[in-house]
Amino acid sequence: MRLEPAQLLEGEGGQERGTMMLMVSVQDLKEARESVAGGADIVDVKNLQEALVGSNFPPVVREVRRAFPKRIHVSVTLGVAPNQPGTVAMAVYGAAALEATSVKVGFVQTHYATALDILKESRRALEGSQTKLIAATFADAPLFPGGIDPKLVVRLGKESRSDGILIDTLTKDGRNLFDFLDEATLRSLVTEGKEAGMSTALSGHLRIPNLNALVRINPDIVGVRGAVCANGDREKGAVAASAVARLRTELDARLTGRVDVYSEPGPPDVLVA
Amino acid sequence: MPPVALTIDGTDRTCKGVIAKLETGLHDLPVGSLFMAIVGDVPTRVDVRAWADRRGHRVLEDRTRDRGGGFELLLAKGPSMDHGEIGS
Repeated sequence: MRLEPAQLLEGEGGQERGTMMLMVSVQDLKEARESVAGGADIVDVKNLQEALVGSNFPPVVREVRRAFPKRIHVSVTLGVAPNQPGTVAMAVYGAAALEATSVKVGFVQTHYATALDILKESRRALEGSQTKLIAATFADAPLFPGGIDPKLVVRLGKESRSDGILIDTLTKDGRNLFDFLDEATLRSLVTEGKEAGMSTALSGHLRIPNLNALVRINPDIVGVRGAVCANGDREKGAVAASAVARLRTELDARLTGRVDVYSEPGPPDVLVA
Repeated sequence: MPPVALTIDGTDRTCKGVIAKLETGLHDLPVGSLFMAIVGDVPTRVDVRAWADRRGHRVLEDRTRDRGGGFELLLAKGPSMDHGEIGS
């Protein structure tokens, strides 16, 4: 069963009944249209030219937001936030002014106290807005000097009164989320996040063979890009509706029990051009 | 196998609703008691299993229902149950 995304917005905790939202990272309106046509619930507007997970420009976000009804979520990523609370809060305010459904603030080489301060200021910047604040960490942050422990994301989210959490990856060398955090750890973080009333999202080079594990973890949102790009190339390829639809079908097969995530292996990672 | 001491039909409930009913229902049962959770969809099934793991309960069976769809999970109450609030 699937609920309309608008129904999911009604509860702050995100997933109230059995469903999982599909989020696709897009660079422009054309990719956003492909994503929605293929069955995406959320289009996540980003700019791969800026550190692969950077922010896109306000006119692009505005154009994407205006192209779809509110039941299609439009999220804005701020990528790796600088250690400057005022600058980040202003960017968060901008995302709200563009009527983004959510804005994601991510941390890599940031001390916990600074990250918390940035999120608290971001929270303050969203007062009176419907835009949701998402605290994000990167599973591969320990690869970077001074990288923040990604497992702190739940604590960060709770202490900053964020609406949700995201765990992503920065490394785009073929490794993915599960190369840095195992299933049990991710399940524990997602469960803890849900129990705190936050929405929970996982991303980071995820592909169809990861769907069984993802459904066993059961976050509210699964984020992809490379898996739904032509030729599977997240940077040079463009999002293709047919690939999004295939992933959506495979995800729904697991959510409805047609594929048993506890006993059956996932299908081969066949890419859809 | 001892009889099932508690059955919660959660087919019309949210994930949180099923777990809240289980928490309440298990409170006075002795360790080792068998209980069954009937859930309507995969995500609720997954959340019940994750909850059981965190609370120290054992999943003995997890099967697809013959009628009506959904899943039946047979569990045994664990020795160190933490009655922390769900969704707090």
